[in-house]
Formats: sequence, structure tokens, C-alpha cells
Amino acid sequence: MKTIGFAGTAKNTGKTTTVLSALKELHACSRKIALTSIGYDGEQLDTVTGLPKPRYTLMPGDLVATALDCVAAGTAKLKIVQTTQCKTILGAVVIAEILEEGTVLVAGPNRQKDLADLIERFRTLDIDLLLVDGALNRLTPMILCDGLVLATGASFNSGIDEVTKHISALVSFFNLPVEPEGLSHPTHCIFIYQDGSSRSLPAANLIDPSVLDSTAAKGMILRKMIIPGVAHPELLGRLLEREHFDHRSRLPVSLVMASPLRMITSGHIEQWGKLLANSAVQFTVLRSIPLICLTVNPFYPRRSKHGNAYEPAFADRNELLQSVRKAVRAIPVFDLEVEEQPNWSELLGLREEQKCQKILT
Amino acid sequence: MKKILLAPLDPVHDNAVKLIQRRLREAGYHTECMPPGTNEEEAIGKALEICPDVILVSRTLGYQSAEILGRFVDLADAAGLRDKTRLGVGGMALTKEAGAELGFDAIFPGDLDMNALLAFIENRPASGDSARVRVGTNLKPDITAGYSYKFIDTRIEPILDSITAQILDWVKDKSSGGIERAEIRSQAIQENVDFLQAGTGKGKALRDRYLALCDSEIQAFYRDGRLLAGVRKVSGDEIEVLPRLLKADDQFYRTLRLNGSKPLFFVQYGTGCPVMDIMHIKISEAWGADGVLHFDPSWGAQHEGLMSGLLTHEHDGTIVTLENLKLIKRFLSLRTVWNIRGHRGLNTPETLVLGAEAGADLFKINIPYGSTGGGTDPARLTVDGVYSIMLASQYGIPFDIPGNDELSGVPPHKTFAGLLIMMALALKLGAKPIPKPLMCFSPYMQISGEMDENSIDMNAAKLNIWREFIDTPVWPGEPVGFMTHTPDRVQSAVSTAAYASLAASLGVDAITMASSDEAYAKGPITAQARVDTLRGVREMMRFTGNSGYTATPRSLRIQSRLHEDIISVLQAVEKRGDFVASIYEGLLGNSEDGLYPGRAGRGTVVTRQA
Repeated sequence: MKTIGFAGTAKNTGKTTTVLSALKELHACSRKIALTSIGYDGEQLDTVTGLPKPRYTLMPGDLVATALDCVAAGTAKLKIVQTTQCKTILGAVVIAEILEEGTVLVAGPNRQKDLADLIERFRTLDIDLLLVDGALNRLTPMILCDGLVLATGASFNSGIDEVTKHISALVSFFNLPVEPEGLSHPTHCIFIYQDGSSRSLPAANLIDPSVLDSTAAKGMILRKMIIPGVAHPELLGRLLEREHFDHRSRLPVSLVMASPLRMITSGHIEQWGKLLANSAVQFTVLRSIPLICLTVNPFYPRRSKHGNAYEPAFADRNELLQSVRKAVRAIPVFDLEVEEQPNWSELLGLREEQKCQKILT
Repeated sequence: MKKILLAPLDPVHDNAVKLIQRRLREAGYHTECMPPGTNEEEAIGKALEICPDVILVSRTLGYQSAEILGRFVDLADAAGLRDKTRLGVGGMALTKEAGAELGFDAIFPGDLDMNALLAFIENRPASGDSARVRVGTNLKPDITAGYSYKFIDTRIEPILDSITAQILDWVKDKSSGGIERAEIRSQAIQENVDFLQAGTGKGKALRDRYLALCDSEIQAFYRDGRLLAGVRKVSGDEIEVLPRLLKADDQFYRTLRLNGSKPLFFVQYGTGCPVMDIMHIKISEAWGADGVLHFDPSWGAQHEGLMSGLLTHEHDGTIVTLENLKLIKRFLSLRTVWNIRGHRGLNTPETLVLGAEAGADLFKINIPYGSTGGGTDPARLTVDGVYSIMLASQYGIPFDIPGNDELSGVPPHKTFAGLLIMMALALKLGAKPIPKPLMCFSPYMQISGEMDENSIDMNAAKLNIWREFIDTPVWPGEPVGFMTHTPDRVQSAVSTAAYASLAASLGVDAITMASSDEAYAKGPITAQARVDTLRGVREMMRFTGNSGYTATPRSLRIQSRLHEDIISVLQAVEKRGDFVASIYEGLLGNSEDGLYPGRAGRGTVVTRQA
């Protein structure tokens, strides 16, 4: 079973549309599909803007993991096959089989820990693919997926240049080299010095400035730093400033971060950009996730001039697509509203498997 | 001791957070509060430092602020906090769905609900609404509980005893088609006979007996399936959609009882369509209504016999059928007190039979009021009314007595004399009555100028006077502020809220409120207009709080005069020695007041066969 996450840089960037595009093709090749969400998806109207949203339609045999309150909310006929221990605002998350085609409302586990439990459950249910829809700009639980599809667009920022710069910077996190296996995942931040000595901070995360007060630089040349949790780039920068670098040999300090997703969680991309551009440090990650493709969406909700409502607005579709494609050459970029659709089977690495021979396109 | 971190992610506002902090400290929790404008990293950094059991953040939800909250949740997860720390968010515009999208463990929308908040902190189900899902738990307050019904004014007790003795003596050998139909309907329910299906055998015999007592239009309904004008059957689709429309539970229920266990707040429904009624009821429940009153079409009071099945009606008033009532009951919250009125029509006894079968909590019966204007002949309603009170007594279901004859121009002392007669009659028959003095700007008040100076003195007197007569619950109706409302929804909501505030501060047990477009809707009232009033009343309850109005010397003078005038009316009725004749002759309201005896069912009282 493969688990694919669909995340966005902001609300309304087209995550659900992207999942629907993948579902269409995967249904056509009779894949056994399961769907869940780390947020709330498949509703008729957006929970914040009130604007219409695309809805999920699942086919008989598909599975969905959703909160109990959502089970009767769609038109699909469902049969609950498992009730998980995961509790959400909308009730316990259940796994249900689709008996009759129809729409579904999906609100699954929102914590990484609960998503991990759900993935294990699906492994026992003869599933080809588990699709995990994201929520807003939330990314953390997606680290559990085997691949990530990222949606961006004018909803993140109506300025095309800003969207392009942001996504370009974001993609660079996924290109960071992964530490070779064998490096243990420490529970605290660790500093390793040129003489082989080390020291650790009393925390796994680097977002509380008081961490700086609780530790002093050792006065030796720093070689490696491992941060297993979350780090704020500004704090990380200040910490590095207090350490001694090997200016003579110009060997960069190795900064080992938990994952690209944990890096993105804290601070701004621009702050990270400065650090990534610093030739005195070389970033690696303990764990990464392949970025499968990007989708771009020119739609954004704009405050109506009349009253407190929102109205749909659009950036220049072609300009947005071309701009992002030009900036992110190594990753396929799609606008799902134009004719050229992604070949999902190929992107998700399914084409070589026998089951997918039925694909005609 | 549980540790709570409060983090206002809002750049400016932290009033709610400060309030919560004070309340939580009072409740014995250790709290840490961050300054307004705290960002996600600062909040998570603090949480990593103090390891709280719960983090409560506040932020008004809107486009692009949602990302801030999403990022906060993501950061908490990435920092490993969510294994032990639960996350709650409070703010305007939040919904459960938005909470799920953001990834929080709980949401606290709108006004502060400390019960829900404490339940979340303690990781237990919320009290009140959550508790009511437990089967068999009676969550409905009993309006009559704690009242002895002892007469305080000993002068009126013998007068009322004399009047009611005459009434009971007069009705003892009398009956009507209405009573006989109620008995047949009751038998049909016991024997599971459906009049729509009863084609043969015992069922047919029962139905034939029933139809022999009905109008030709009701007979045509059962025999030929002919519907009355403006009536159609409710379709299966209309009903099937309801569970989906009503999938949200009472997450957003906010009581209007901010200052104690009473008064209960009631709204009226009767859009004509039971499905639409259910939507109105659910909206009203969510906004704090404790009870609802079923209003039937005015023509229902003037036809002999009731139809069956799920029926909708294109004008005001929802048709009383067992199926309509059961459908509505199915969707009522377990805490909602349900009143089915039957006070003025030719089907009063049968309405009580159906209401009891459907699960009503309260009825509405008033013989003098129901015998006036477009209502029922006084003799007929006296016979049917007494029988109905006996039914209410047998069922153990209290009934209220609306004093709405004031709307025709009857002065309050005459209306109140009628209410007292009904009270005494009910007590003699073992029932639990609830008087409903009308808080209104009635024609009498407009003409007499008694409310020109203010609206408080007279209405306070009309409420306070009941404590002088009898130890009884008091429920001003129906609705409060009647004839003060205009097509302006803001004005209407404000007026209702002001009247409700006055009534609540004077210690009444329940209040009936109109929607802000009820008087001038020109069709079904709107859900928004319902919320107007409920919201307005809530704000007024908060404003008044535990303070209130004290009777002015003028109000006390009105009360004193009213008291004597009521006794004079009761003495006149006693002296007349004939309750029905007293109504015909205008002792409880005459043509000069604007009141005429009702005519429906005249000449239909029959002598009961021995």
C-alpha cells in the first residue's frame, strides 16, 4: 500500500481538486482506494469563506476514514467496518466501505500519531493506495506518507511572483539530502565538535528563546548539529552565531534537521532561505518525503465590496502556470483546469504494476 | 491540578482570554496567560516550557487567519506537544467543521460557555446538553414544580368555589361531538386503528362512528381522499432530507437562562408545514429556546373532526394530526418542553388525546377566551373544556391558560377573572394550571391611556398580582409585547427583549416570545427573524442580570385597583349563577369591550346518555 499526501500552501489552493483528479484516473484502473483527510473535506461550502467547494465522490469498494458525524452526511451509502481510537471534534474516526456510489464528507485524524495508527489499520485492509487530503497549510502529519503532492496558487497570495518565489523556496526543502540510515533520532538537540566531544540542549525543539539562555557555546569548532524537533530559523541563526566555525578549512557545519516538513512548520520561508544560502552550513534531514508534483490554482476568495462575504477571483491562469513551471523545473507542475491532466499512475509509480493495465489513456 | 495555557493569537483582543483566566483560577486551575498578539512560536515555546494539559487559543476566524490557527496546530504536532496537550480554540465565526479543518480538539464559538470549557479541560462529556443524550433522563423542567396552588386571597376562594361548582354541575350530563370523537380517537389509538387504512371490520366501525361526528369536508377527506383547500400531503423526500439537514447536534446551544433556572423561554411555531416547523424549532433550540408551542390553523378550530397523515398547509398554522405531531416530536431536543394548544376549537378534547399520544408536555385550554371572537360557542367550549381539563388531569400534563382576550379590547380585570375561574376549575379536577397574563399594549390600554407614561407599571402590576391570589407559576404570554411590534424587525426584537427582561426580573416561570416578523410576516415567518428575538432577549438577560425592576407606587396602585376589579367581576359571575350565560352576557368581556361570543359549534351540546 502506498500513502500519498495532498497538501496545500494555504486554504483553497486546490487540494481537493487535485485529489479528485487522481481519484478519477485511479477509479478508471480499478485501484482499491482509501481516502482520508487530516482536516475536513468534501463539504458543499467552504467553512470559512462560504464559497462552493468541489465534493468527493467515491465508488463501491472504496474505503473512507472519516469522523462518525460525517458518515451520514454524504449521498454515498456506507458500511462502517472499523471504529478507531482516534477522537475528533466530529466524533470518533471510523473506516467505512462504500456500498453505493455517492459523495462523502471526510474528516479524519488530525494528529500525526493518529494518522500513523490509521495507516497501520489500512495496511491490513488490502488497499492499493491511501490518499490523505490535507487541511489549510498544515503539513506535519504528511511526513508519514510515501509521497506528497503540493497545491499552491493565488489563494496563498494573489501576486503570481510571490506565489512563485514561495513555492520555489518550498521545493528546495524537499531536495535536501537525507542522512544515511544508521543515525539515531536523538531526543534532544545535539552539538558535535571537531574534537569529537558533544553537548546537548535540554530540548528537542528550538523555538523557545530561553533555550539560548540555558546553554553557552563550548568554544570549540562546531562540526555537526542535530535538531530532532522543530526549529525556528531565526533562533537557529542566533545559536549558530555563538558557535565557532572552521573558517580556515572552510568545511561547512553539518545541520541535521528532522524533516523538510518540520522545518517549514516554524518561521518564514525567507528566514530559512537565508540559512540555506549560508555556505558555512550544510543542511541534511533525518527523514524526507518525495515531492511527486505540484498543482497550481489561480482561484482565490476575495472580500466582496458589498458586505462581509467573499467572492471568487482569479489570477492569470496561464501566467501562474508558466511562472511556477519556469521556477521549479525538476518537479512536474499542473493546472488541473486545463486540458493536460497528470498521468497519476505514472506519477505515483503504479504503471508498472499489472493491475493498472486497464488504463487506456 | 490541571495546567492551562491561554494564548490570544489575536493581535489586539484578549478580553475573553482574561475573563477565562479569572474563571479558571476561581475554579482552581493553574493558568498561564500570554499577552495579546502572541504568535504561534511564542505560544508553542511557552507550552514546551510549562507542559500544559490544555492550550486555549483565541482568534476570530476569517480568511487567512485560518492559516495562522492551522500553523499553530501543525507546530504543536511537530513539536511533540499533542501527545499530552489538548488544543482548544475560541472565537467568533468558529464552527465544528472549521475546528475539524484546523485540527483542534475542541472549539468554543461565540459567548463563553464555562460548562463546556471545564468539561473539555477535564476531558469529560459536557454537562447539560451532552448529558441529555442519556436515554431516560428527564431534562425538562416542570414549570409547576414547587407551587402549592394554595389560595392566598381567601376572599376569592369561596367565590371561585361557587362558580366552578355551578360549571361542573352544568356540564355533568352534557356531551358533544368533540368529546365523543376524542373517546373514539383514544380507542382507535389503543387498538392501533389507522383511520386512513380502516377499510373493514372493527376499524371501519370505529372510523364510521368517528366520521358520523365530523363535518362533510373531513368526511370527504377520509372517504374520498379529498384534501381541504391549501392542504397537501408531505412527500417522503421532504422528510428524508431532514436528518441530513439536521446533522449538527446541539454544539451551539446557548441557554437564555443566564440568571438561574428560570424563566423558561418559549417560542411559537406553526408555519403550516411540519418539516419547516422542525427547522424553525431546531434553530430556536440552538439559540436557547427551552420550549415550543404548536399552533394549528384557525380553521382547524371551526371544523368538526381532525384529519390524519402527514399534511402540510400553505397558510399559517400546522394541521393537528397524530402523524404531524409525531414527526415533529421525533426531532425535538430531549430538553425541549412541548406545548400543544387546543384551547379554543371544536377539537379541543381530541387535540389533547393526540397530543398526549405524541408526547406533549403541556396543553393550552381557556374556556372564556376560546369562547369569544372567531372561537367556539361558550356552551360547547365549556362542555369540551371541562372534559379536556379532566383529560389533562388524567394524563398528568399541566396546561396553560392564555389571557389573549385582552387583544379584543377586554380590560385585564375581566380577562384575569376568567383565568382565575379556569385555575379553580383545574384545581378542582386535579389538573395543574398555569395562568398566562398577557403583556401587551392592548386596545384597552391604548384607549384608556394607562400605558402612556411607561410600559412597566401596568405590566408589572399584571404579573405581581398573581402572587396576591394564589401560589402559582406565572407565564406571561402570548407572546410578550403583543401589539407593540411593528414591521421593523429591530424594533420588534428590542420590544420583546424589553418585555422579557421585565417579566424575568419579576420572577415569572416562563415567557413566550414572538419572532421579530411574526406580527407582519405576510406569510411564514423567517428563521432569521426568530434569531433576532432570541439574540435580543439573550442580550437583555445579560444586561439585566440579577438586578431588576421594583414596583413603583403607581404600579402598586394599579395592582390594588386591578385586584378589587377582578373580585368585582368574579362576584358578578357568581351572582349570575350561570357561567355560560355570564360569557354570553359579557360579564367576562362584552361587545363594548370589543368581544362577542364565539359561534362555532352553537347548538351542538347534547345531553349525555345515562
